[in-house]
Amino acid sequence: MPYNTDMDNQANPQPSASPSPSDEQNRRELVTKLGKFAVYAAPFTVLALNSKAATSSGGPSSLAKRGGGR
Amino acid sequence: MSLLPPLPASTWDFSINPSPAGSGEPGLVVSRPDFPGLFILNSSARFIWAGLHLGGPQNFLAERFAENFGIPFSQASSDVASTLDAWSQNLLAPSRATQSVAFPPLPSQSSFSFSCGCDVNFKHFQLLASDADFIHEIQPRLAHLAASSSTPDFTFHVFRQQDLFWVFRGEASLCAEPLVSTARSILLEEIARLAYDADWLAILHAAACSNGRQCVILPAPTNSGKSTLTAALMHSGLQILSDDSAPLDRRSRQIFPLPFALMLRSGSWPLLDPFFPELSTLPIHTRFGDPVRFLPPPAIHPQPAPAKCLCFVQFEPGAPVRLQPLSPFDSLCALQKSGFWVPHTRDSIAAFLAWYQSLPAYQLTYSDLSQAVPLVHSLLA
Repeated sequence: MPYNTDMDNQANPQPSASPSPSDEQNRRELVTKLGKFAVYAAPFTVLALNSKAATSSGGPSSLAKRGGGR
Repeated sequence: MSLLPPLPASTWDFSINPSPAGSGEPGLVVSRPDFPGLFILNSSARFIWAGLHLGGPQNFLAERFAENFGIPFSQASSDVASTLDAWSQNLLAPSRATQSVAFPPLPSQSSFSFSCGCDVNFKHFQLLASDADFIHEIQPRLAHLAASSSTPDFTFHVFRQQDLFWVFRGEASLCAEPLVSTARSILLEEIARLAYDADWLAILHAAACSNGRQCVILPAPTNSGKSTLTAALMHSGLQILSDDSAPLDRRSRQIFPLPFALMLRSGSWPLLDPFFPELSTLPIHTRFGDPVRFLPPPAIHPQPAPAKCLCFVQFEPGAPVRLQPLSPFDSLCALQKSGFWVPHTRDSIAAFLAWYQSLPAYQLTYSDLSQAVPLVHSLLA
């Protein structure tokens, strides 16, 4: 791939509210370089809920089993 | 001319790299300190996210987007707008106050009708519970570990109150969960953590099988054939670290055992009958209306093992066996479907993603266990 994969702030962990000059430069480079792909894939975002509820084989909740709860 | 929306007060960004061979797209994981989730962005969504940091008019970003991806401006403008619209509901949404649940006092000892003791890694645990659904959920998984001791190392209480399942260790609350399966899972993960003095960096909804030196992690959503394959792998000689939750230890980066009984739904019984003739003699439990059986693992104590690879499992009736490599990005998207948990701190997420991306990943589709089992063995060879 034609771009530097380390350009996010993983190597320089600053909150995005106060980016360092190097972060800003990295992001400018990213914007100019990231799109060079032969096949365009429409943007998509997947949300992984960071929950222990996701780590087990599930079943109905106590609310559902009671027909809607209180 | 509309301007790009402002960013949240703080975000954590983590790169997802292509595979070492260069395949797969570079993605990005973004998280907010005030929201317990990971947003997994593909390369074009990542471009938009990077553009947000620069600010300015939305049309300027769309122009750069069109130029970089070689698409018409109209399509770029539409894709940028729809992405920003979707993010306005979560990634870019104002911070919401979290609701705290009132902490109930531990009920009196006499209210706990169920009591059992079990040994895990030479530590003794006592469990007291008062809710019939929870007892039904936990008892068959612990039955083969039953042991009595007058001095438990750890004592848990579980009860239901305010439509929540509460798990206490001593006087401290571990969780309050609406799902009985989540409360059960958290309790078992905590038993294993205490038994092995571990510290979980992550827990994957996955089985894990070891050859004594390394293990393969088998993530899959519920009802994908994960436990069926795990049982067949156990019959073939692999050690079962877990059939449902694979915990990753922070210090050693090893997968630790959860030596509890495997839960097998009725669809798996005919497939496993040739391997486990005794399966048909095991009691049938009804779980949420479905018949299940619980198969205890052999009476050996598997040791923690480092992961060699990830192998996502999908049972498809009649399908030929297939093993396809996955890029880190595709693997992470697959893991999102399976389910996982990471402590919501920047350091933990970064450490988890670095570990995760270091593992080769595959998608295994099967219908015939006799073909799938050798393939999993080959991954550990």
